Amino acid sequence: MVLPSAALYARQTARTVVPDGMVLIAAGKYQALYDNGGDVDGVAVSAFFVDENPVTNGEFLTFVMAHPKWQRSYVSPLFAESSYLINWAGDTDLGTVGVDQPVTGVSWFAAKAFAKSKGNRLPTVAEWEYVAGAGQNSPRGKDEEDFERNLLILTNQPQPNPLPKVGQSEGNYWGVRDLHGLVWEWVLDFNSALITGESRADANLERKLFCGSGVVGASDFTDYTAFMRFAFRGSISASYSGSNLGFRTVRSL
Amino acid sequence: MRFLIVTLISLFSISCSEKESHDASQHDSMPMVLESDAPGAGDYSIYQVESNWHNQNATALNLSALVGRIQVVAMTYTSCEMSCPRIVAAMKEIEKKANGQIGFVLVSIDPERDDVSTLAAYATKMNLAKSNWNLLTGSSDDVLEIAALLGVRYQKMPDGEFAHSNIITVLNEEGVIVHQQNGIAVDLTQQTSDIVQKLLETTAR
Repeated sequence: MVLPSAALYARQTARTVVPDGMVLIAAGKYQALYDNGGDVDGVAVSAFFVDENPVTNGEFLTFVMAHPKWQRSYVSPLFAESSYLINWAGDTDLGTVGVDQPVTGVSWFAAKAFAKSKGNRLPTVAEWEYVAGAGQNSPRGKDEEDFERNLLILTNQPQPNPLPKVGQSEGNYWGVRDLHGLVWEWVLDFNSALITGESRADANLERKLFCGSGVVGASDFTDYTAFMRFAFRGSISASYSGSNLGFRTVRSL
Repeated sequence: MRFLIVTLISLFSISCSEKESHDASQHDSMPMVLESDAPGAGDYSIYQVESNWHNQNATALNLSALVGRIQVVAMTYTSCEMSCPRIVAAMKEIEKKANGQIGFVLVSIDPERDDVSTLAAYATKMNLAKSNWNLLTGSSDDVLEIAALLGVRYQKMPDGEFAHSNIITVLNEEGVIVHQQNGIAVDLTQQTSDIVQKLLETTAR
């Protein structure tokens, strides 16, 4: 009888096959920036797959060619602003934009439709922040020296023009790249990030999401880059198609 | 830049077709288009989304089923005791002045708890069990999408309650947002009521 090698055994017994271009993220806890008075141990995040890199222009081009209603001329103004894919030369012509650069100028609706076409979805705030909170050597970057400082440097760099190709930065603990410093990324529940016209006196997210007195509601005062992301998510609407905003997809196990 | 008008009729034929709504990504096709210099009203209709809902009578429907009537829409949840009853009260106030000519829609932001029977019980309790009221429940994904379309923000709190925007939206007969009331103050509701009246007068003419 031949015993399978350990590696083969692991592969055969793995409950799931990691999809191409994706990375498996183990279940864990995400320490929410705004704990809303509960979840002291953090928000439980189930295991999922996430794209190693942000979605590229090339990948998005393939999508719009198969789904013409997401091309620039045909997309409904309800789903995308006039700046939608504005850096492309035409509906199906990238022009000078590189195939391997992260796609930007995509609305939440378009990003969501792309994800669905792949059998995937957009990550939740908790999933995205959980992945992005990993350091080089551990799932909790905050425990690593210089983690916050490096993120801050990355985040405060002006956006390079043209954007570099995806996948050039070093992968984090999970092997996920370009989470910081390349483009902002859509999340599925971005519209939970800020409440306007809030109704309940004890749950005033709006106050907690801004600097100044509101900051006392946060769980980690040093996480400046997270404050920036939360403020950004709170400031955009779903049809926003800015040149600094891309996305990556996830898949549940 | 030239825009293309997607004809309303082609949109409705897409969203009313049942097989389309099951897996939209499989059935993407270019709708019939007419060239024009500006987007048409249909392009802004929220009825072009392909989400699936059930109302308090367990009737399955797409948003396009709401076409042809002015609709007043809010996002609430039935176990909410703070602002939601006040939103419903404001909508009833608008209803009183509109003489039953318009429709009302309450989309639940708590689909986990608000199933059809919970919505039915709520409709009875709040005296909304009428044909012009639709209390809708759907997948959490579809709820997020309509919230995105209406600009409603909400978040589940650790205690199971929801923090949410208090926005009442008026949709015209085609499903285009024509007015949004942000808050439930009496004068704001009066203003919404006036706008609905004007819309009804325009339609009657």
